[in-house]
Amino acid sequence: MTVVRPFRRVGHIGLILFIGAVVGLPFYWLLISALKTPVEVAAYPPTWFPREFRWQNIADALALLSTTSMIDSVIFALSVTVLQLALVVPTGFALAKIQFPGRQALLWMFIITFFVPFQVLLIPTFLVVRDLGWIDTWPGLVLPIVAQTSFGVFVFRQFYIDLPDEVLEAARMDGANLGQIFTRIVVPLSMPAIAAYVSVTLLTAWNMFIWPLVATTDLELRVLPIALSALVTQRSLVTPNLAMMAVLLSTLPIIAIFVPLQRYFVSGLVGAVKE
Amino acid sequence: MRTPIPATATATVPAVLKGRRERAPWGWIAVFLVPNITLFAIFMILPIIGAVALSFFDWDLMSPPVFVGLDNYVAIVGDPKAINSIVKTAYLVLIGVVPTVIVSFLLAVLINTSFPGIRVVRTIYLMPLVISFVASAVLWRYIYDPRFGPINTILSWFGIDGPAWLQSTSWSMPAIAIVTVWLRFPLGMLLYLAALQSVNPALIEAAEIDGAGTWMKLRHVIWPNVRPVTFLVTIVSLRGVLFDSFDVVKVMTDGGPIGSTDILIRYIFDMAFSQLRLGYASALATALFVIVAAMAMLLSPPKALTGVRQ
Repeated sequence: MTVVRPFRRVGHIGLILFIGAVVGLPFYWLLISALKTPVEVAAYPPTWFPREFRWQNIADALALLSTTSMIDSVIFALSVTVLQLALVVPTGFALAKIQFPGRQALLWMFIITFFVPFQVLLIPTFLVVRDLGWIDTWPGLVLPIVAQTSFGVFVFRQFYIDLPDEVLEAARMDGANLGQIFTRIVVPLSMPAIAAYVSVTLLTAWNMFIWPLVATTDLELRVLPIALSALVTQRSLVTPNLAMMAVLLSTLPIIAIFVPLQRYFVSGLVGAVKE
Repeated sequence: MRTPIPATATATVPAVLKGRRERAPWGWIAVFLVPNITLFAIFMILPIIGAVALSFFDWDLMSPPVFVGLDNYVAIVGDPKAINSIVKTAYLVLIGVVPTVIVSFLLAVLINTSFPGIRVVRTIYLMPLVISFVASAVLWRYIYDPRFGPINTILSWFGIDGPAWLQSTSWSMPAIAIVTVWLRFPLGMLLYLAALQSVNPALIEAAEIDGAGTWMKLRHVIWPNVRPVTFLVTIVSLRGVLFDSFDVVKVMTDGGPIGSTDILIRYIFDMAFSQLRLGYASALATALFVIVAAMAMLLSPPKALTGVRQ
């Protein structure tokens, strides 16, 4: 039983709220700037609440970001996430719970490659994709990103290491083979971890910039961050309020996914099985 | 007082499915591993070999590559801009990674509580996780604006004449580091929160009964129990700061002013895509990778890294 100290409690909550305000300030600034008029957004001193809301910013910014880009971003993020999950969950399980020669070496391969910056691999990866004839195609855009499984393998491997062996041993005694153990016991037990990984991967893919820029030249295959960067490089043409609105609009879909899924972040990482 | 801590999360031996007296189940191992390893070989291992091989050549994408041996590596030592970018990278690691780990840990401890409205507050804490690096870099450019930005406006309330941030050679890197910590702490905080919930409450109670204050509990009970997570958070932040900071630096300062934020990864990108010195860029990249791998080894012995008894 913990002793409740009311003054400390108020101080604690006060500190939480204060830091929350600091962390949230950039988002507040984004929101108000996105709704200001072009004149007010550049006014000195800055206003902390828009004197006048310019809702036209929404339509203007939407026109600047194309519908194709939004659809492309959705397809890109979903396919990267689903395919990557299908790779990392079985691999993480095998590396944690099945003993075989070469397992350590394989694990090290994933851990070490985790430190290879993708920027470094950009040119050789581009050359591979070009030689496959996959530039400006969905496989060329998606598969090199899907293949970056190091982090996922590491995460699921750590997750399964903590999975009590008794659970698996019991199923084994009942005559289940590894495939059945995996699909009927391991995967259902990992749902929170999977939900957590899905949310993290979805948003990583949604925000990905450099590879889509290199792998595509076709306007039909342009994801949102590229459309966004195109806006801010033409800074003389796009006023800050519209740039902010475009940032806001491109971030909203992922917030819509993130808010309902966020509890899985915490619960998923805790691990489903408690001893 | 030392309480014996049950070794739960640190070193489980994953031995049960090894199959006593049986051979490794190669059929299932293939099913689990082959798709991943195939893609990994084509889009990860092959490009890594390509990048290393490229570092022994001079190549500008147009004319045929010329083998130059170790010349590209030798050239790094005589390139003051490369040395500068290495120093700047170390600086960003110092003022970016360390605060990210500490802030993640402290904020996880701080919000590991409940009160009405905690869900909303937690959501705000996690919000930086969802904004893209490109988008946040654009946003923070306006936030750091010396005249119209909120930071210097708030500082002026306290009579402080804020620096020019991104236009200042001494403040540009701290400005990048602040954005980095802001972008990176939520993931670390989540990982710590998860770990905190698996810390045995009896341990904390025992410490309280022994009269431990907040600091003592943090230092001697909570911190040692979340050490595996500290390692995970450190490598994730290290990787993020070293590599993903590229997007932030590229959009916010593009390495300036006067090279004050010219981190290695930006310099490499510049060498590869603006100067088209692909061989030299690959040599720099290889050197960077070796440095980072060495740092990772140094941070934690292999046993703690894999959590497996060798």
